[in-house]
Amino acid sequence: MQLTRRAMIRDGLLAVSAGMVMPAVFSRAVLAARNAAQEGASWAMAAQQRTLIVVQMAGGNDGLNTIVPYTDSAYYQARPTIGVKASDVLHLDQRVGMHPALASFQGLWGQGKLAVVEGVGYPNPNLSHFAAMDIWQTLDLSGQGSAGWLGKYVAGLVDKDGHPFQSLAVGASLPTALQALNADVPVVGDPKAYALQADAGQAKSAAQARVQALLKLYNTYPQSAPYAALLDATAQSAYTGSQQLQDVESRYQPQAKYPSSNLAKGLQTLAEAIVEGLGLRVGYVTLGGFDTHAQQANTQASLLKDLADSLAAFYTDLAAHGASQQVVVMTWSEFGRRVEENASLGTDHGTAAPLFVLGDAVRGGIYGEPPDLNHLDNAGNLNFTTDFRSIYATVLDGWLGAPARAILGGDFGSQGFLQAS
Amino acid sequence: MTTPSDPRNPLNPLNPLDEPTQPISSYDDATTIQQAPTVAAPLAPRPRRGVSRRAVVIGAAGAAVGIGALGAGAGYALTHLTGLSGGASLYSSDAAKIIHVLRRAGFGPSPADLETYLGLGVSGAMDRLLNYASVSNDVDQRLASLNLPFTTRANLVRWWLARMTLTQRPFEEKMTLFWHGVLTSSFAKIGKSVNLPLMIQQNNLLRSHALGRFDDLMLAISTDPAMLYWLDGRFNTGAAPNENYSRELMELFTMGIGNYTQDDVHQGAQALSGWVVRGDQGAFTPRRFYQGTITYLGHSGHLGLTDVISLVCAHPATPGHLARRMWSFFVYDNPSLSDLQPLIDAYHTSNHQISAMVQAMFHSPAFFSAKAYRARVKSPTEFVVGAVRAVGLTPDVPALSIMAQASAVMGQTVFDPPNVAGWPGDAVSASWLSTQAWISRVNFVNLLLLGATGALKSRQAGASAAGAAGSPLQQVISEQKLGKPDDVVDYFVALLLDNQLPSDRRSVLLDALTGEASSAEATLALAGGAKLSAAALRQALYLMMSMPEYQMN
Repeated sequence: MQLTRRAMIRDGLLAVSAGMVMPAVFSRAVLAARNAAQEGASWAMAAQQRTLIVVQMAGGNDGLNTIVPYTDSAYYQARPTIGVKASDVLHLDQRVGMHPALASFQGLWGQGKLAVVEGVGYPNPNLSHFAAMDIWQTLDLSGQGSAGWLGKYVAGLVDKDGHPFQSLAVGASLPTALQALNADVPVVGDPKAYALQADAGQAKSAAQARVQALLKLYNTYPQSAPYAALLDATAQSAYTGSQQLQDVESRYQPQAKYPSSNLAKGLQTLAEAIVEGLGLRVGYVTLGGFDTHAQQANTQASLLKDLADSLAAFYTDLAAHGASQQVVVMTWSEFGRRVEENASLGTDHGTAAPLFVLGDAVRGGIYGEPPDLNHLDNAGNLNFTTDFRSIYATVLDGWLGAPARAILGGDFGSQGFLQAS
Repeated sequence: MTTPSDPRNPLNPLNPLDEPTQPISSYDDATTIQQAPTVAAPLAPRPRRGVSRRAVVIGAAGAAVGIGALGAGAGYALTHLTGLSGGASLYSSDAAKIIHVLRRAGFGPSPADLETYLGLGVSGAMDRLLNYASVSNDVDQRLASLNLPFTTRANLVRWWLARMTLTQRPFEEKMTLFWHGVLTSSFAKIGKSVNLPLMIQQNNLLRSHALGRFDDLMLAISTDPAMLYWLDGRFNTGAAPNENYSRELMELFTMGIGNYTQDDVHQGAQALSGWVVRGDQGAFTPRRFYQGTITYLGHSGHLGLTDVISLVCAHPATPGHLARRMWSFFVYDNPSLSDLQPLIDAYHTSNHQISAMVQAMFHSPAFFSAKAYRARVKSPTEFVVGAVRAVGLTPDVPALSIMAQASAVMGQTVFDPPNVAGWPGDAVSASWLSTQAWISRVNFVNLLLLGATGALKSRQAGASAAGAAGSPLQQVISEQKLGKPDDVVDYFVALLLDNQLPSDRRSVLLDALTGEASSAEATLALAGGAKLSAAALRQALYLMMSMPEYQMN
């Protein structure tokens, strides 16, 4: 019943060669997968017990009000009303400090487990949310990318059969970063809702028989039909995954008090997959709402508080389960925001911004180069100093033991935020 | 190897141009289709895998030729559908086409819709759907009886789901849903709950402009209060422009990315400045307006809102962008330029009438091509509304709540898009298909069928049979005079799956209907007095509505 990667590739190729309706994202992914298969580019589990958690801060987080250059007069000149006061900033060093809503990060910072990478961006920045998100997720700087960088990583994992939770996105739909035709990534909104319900009064055996009959209808759906492979893989993975998740759902006991936010619930789902040994390698969760064109102060503060409180609880939970050593978390946002505030007490779309990396394996500190507030581009935005792909390369190579060059399609250097392993 | 060009492929039924000497794949190019005759000649036999049991019964097995083979000439039609002049029998290729149109231009057929639309034939059914202004509609009275005041977010969602389920103008709601995904807004940014009616006001704006002139729609939405909240137009002043609306107006609503500069975004924002929300209206405040000269998309002057809207609507890239959104939503993902050209031409020749683009799209030969058939993954809204309509259930408030909750887990809550670009599934329907969404779909079907066979009510009432006897599905069985398990399977395969199902798959459904009869369960009465286990009917319908064919639109 299991759909093998080989079958997915074959199936996908069949559909593409037949000229069926197939968005470019899938057809290109199929070709990439075929090339990878031909080159034998799959990676053994060098990093068996390691997990990367990616937190997307969607909408464009204002980096300057997240990691505040509180000694730079140009900052306060550009942000006369919404600038974070120097007296409110949580100092990281003599130059920058965190937004006060990130107070829950102070513990991790003090323990040397929180890294900040400054000035993260790429050449010729795109100010569209969606083009910028595509660039960050597919690495195609034209914004026309297809397969996601994490999807490519997942697609290369060996021994996937029977392990549906090697990767897991929390929410309702699959983020672009995890898309690749043969990646087959499950999406979980709520672990409790991740179960197939039986008919009223139906015996377990009858319910099982009904599901088996249904899965057979998926397995025998003509492969030439649009999305046939996707339908089949989705149904099979949902079934296998629901069995596994319901098995552990009763066992897992969180050892931290999580906030009540969706982000916290999502992180708790990922913690469950990690501590219950479902073999999670990549977990993904999104926190949206950062598009603060107007009246940004309260909105951003509550989002940053959610971020820090939820991640701190997540770390505490993992540590209490003895699992924090196997997890690294990184955040990203499609862009930072305009240096100069607008008249709506907000900020418009910008460019480079800092991001966070945290975990036991992280070497705390500040990395990258601070962007220069006195040398902006034509639109009044920051010039980036750190290529985002160097961060991907660091976590792929240095943490997951995957060939960054093969996945990213080039050499983009690396950052020093991981402990020597 | 079975490919779409394989004439034996049973999934090629909707191409009206069946012609044995030409492989179907050549019809994938719409330009080819346009040169082909648009009226099918008498259908010549061609081999077909998956001949249905019905075809065997009527002795046409050797000559079955796709859905046309089982048409009116084959001599079978449900009793109550015979004698409809110009109409299509339930098992004809025309019926499959009509149901295809009902899914795309609406939310799929209810049992009552079959009566209405099959009687009109393909072009009559299309006319009734698309030209809905002349169709009388009692949906407002029906909504009023549900008593859903616009004081909570949940009631807004219930209200629209009810409207989509109960309307006699499905295309009016489908177009509104399309525009809601393009010119989107969310109640998440509307502020206090006293502002929630502004979301309904915007919804009515989209509905009333749905088929009008694009410029009028864009002018209206640009000063719509919910939009002024959503994209911060109310904060946009000449002194310090807020670029949010200006950017999305070009990137998402009209011409698309790559056709403007950051400077256009900035100066466009200046031209759009000065609008605020006053009460439930957008209002212009001259002192907040930019007073200087503006250069926007190559035009200079003292430009304001109407100038900006005229310029973006006249921009050469706008009709193509709009046509792509429309085609991806209504026909299939990833259209070719030649697919879109008739819509673009219609935009120009009609002076920007949306109705002209819509007519060009639905009358394009590609709309009935094999490539379009079961080509889009149903959206959560299409799925829940369609399923409720299909089983003939009239939703009450608790049912609407279940529909809303299920749809949310599947990835869509109307009035609450994930971001300013609306739902990604509207553009690439595969986005709707995740493991969580799939589980939520089949669980929704499970619950819906319990409701539609009276099992929920009867359990609550503690009476095992009374619920089934008065249930919506009992009503369907009685009205359609379904007397044998075969008839039941045939009817629902036609209603839910356009009668397009290979025999081996149909036999799985018949087995489910006849193999699991549980004597302890509530029973339904077949025509002629035989009994049918409600659990067995649920078993068969669960498979039908959960199988891959039904996930696709």
